[in-house]
Amino acid sequence: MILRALFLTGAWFTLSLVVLLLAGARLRRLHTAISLVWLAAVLGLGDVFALLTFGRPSEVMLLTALTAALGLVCIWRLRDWNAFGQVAWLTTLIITPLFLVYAYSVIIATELAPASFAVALMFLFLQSIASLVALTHMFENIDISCRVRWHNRIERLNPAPGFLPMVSLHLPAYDEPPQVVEETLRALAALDYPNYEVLVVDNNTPDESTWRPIERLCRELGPRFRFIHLDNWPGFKSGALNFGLTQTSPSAELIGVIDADYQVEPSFLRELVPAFTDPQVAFIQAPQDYRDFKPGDFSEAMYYSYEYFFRVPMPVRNEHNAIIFSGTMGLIRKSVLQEIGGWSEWCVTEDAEASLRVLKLGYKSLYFHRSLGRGLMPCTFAGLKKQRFRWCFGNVQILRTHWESLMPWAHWIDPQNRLTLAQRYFYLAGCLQWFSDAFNFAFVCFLVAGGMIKLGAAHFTILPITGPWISLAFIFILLNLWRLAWVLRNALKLSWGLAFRSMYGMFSVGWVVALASFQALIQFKTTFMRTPKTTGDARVLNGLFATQWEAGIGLLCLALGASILALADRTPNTLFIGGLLLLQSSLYLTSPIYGMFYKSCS
Amino acid sequence: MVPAVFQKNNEQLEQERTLILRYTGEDDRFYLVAGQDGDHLSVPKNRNVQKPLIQSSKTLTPAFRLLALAFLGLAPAGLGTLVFAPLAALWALVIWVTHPLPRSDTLRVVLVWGLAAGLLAIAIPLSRLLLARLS
Repeated sequence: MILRALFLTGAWFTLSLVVLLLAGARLRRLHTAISLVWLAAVLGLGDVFALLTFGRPSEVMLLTALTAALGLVCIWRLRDWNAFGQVAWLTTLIITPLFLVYAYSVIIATELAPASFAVALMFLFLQSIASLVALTHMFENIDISCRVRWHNRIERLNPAPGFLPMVSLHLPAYDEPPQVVEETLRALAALDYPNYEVLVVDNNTPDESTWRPIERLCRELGPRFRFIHLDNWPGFKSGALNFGLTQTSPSAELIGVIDADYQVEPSFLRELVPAFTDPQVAFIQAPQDYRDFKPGDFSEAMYYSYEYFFRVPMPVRNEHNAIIFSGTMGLIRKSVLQEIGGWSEWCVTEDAEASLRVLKLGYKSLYFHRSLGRGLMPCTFAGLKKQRFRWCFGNVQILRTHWESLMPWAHWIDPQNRLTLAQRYFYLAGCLQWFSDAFNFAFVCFLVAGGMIKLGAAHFTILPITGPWISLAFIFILLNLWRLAWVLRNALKLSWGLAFRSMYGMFSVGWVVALASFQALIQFKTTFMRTPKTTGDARVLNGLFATQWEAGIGLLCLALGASILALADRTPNTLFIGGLLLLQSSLYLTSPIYGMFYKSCS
Repeated sequence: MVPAVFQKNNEQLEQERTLILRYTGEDDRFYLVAGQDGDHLSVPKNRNVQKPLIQSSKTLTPAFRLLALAFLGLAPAGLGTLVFAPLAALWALVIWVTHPLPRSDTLRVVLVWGLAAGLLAIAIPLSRLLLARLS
């Protein structure tokens, strides 16, 4: 019965997802009637297929009735999405637990040795958690592509004549090349806003000849600019920013953090400041954007993989007042920053951590959809890996510290916690998504073990894999890869080729993200690793050296996958394992390729 | 920690376009720094000291750690859960009996029991299946 239910929902899922991927982003009309018709069409077509092949009428009717009832709830709850999005989400929600139940039933029903049984259950456990995380990605992807009605989408704020609060812009710098900071400061000097100051806080730069030119430039640029050099200063970037807060003009009402490599547009403050006419708004964030990629180059694909965060999760989170403050290109109300006690010095992503504490107090956040400044991407792939390590580590730090505030029972334990359910969900999901690459690595371990057993023709089963299991897993993998490329294409307006290259750009840092998530689980503190933006040895061999682990794993998967396909028996099971190993090798081998050829600085 | 003499206060510091300072220490209210000419200053932090989102319970932290292990213990056919979930519940019970607890911690104790019971409810049938295979 479970298998028949799985086949039926599989038919619904495949139909609704294929249509979603082909036309989901094009349907820009909202009407309950359209949603109901599409729901009925998907369920009806799936039912006809089932009744003509494997289905039993009573079971089909029961499952269809339950799905239709859940579908009505989906259509009502997700009324800002188009019909294709609503039905695709519904079928995904149904097939995911059914697939897990089926996998469990296969494990139970198969005569396995005790060790195999334990390993198979371990795999199922991992698969269940990974499926939950995958659902959070799926939700974001459908939301960004199929949402027709946006409630909080801001591309331009209404000007507020006469509302010109003082803004203090803080520019933390550590060992930054003077020429880069000079461009940043000159852009800040050209801001079209009458009431602001700039505090350059240089912390722990060892060589005086690096920071002295910046100090001189601050003098040259006039009284708005102040320079602070701090030696032996603790707390990394947040330590410097916290000291900057003590030196901020008492009349400043807003604080902005600008990274040393960001060139802001003259309208930056004029565009964002009107948001603060609403006293409930605590911070506003504009997208982080980059200026140093070359079209057709690896840096272009990487640029779009950076863009993903600000084009997909951020707008989705903004609809629920759950964005993160990502530091540069954002403004935060000074009084609120003081209320939460400044930046956390234990956290390497202090900006994201601060936003959680701000939202906990019940304030509002806003995401501004237009780019108002551009910075530099890491110069080399090794630098990019450092940056990803820090982002992942910081998010796991946040999860470890604040997990209790994000739980469903948080209000019960702390009535002061004003995070809404949606805010708690998005922060929790956002942190957990960093574990996706760790899950993938765990699956690679299972695959490699399974592949070796196949090759050795040993009589040991790691996981009982049946025909339906293989076909459904194959459909899941294929459709999920297609979905990620599809969302990149739609949200970032890319060609298919560039979307696939960007997608592989995301995969190329998978190993370092997996490492960071493991490390952050066992070790709470780390040093703040500065991302080199203008220097770094971008030679091919250095890139290869920086990605030796990924290359090793990728080559292992490639060799094993190819050997299995060439030498082992030709059963579907073997082909599936061999194919998956080849797919994983393509993901891991992207790293050395990017390592050798990615270079963003000239 | 706070020095007896403030040689310069924040308002005076703000008059200076360039500050070159070396960190020597801090407490909740002041940074202690040395200026370029060797004078020692205390700079008011001028911001509140951070408070955690929820005052986490130190006494119950081990119970939550055991609960996390119990969750991970589901992976090897629930065997880990069978060990760690009762330990978590027991730890919470001991704390509840031996310590005067604020309301939030009492709720946490109930939560630990509830979650431990839920995990056990999943782990028991899983591990029975494994034991059936072993026998």
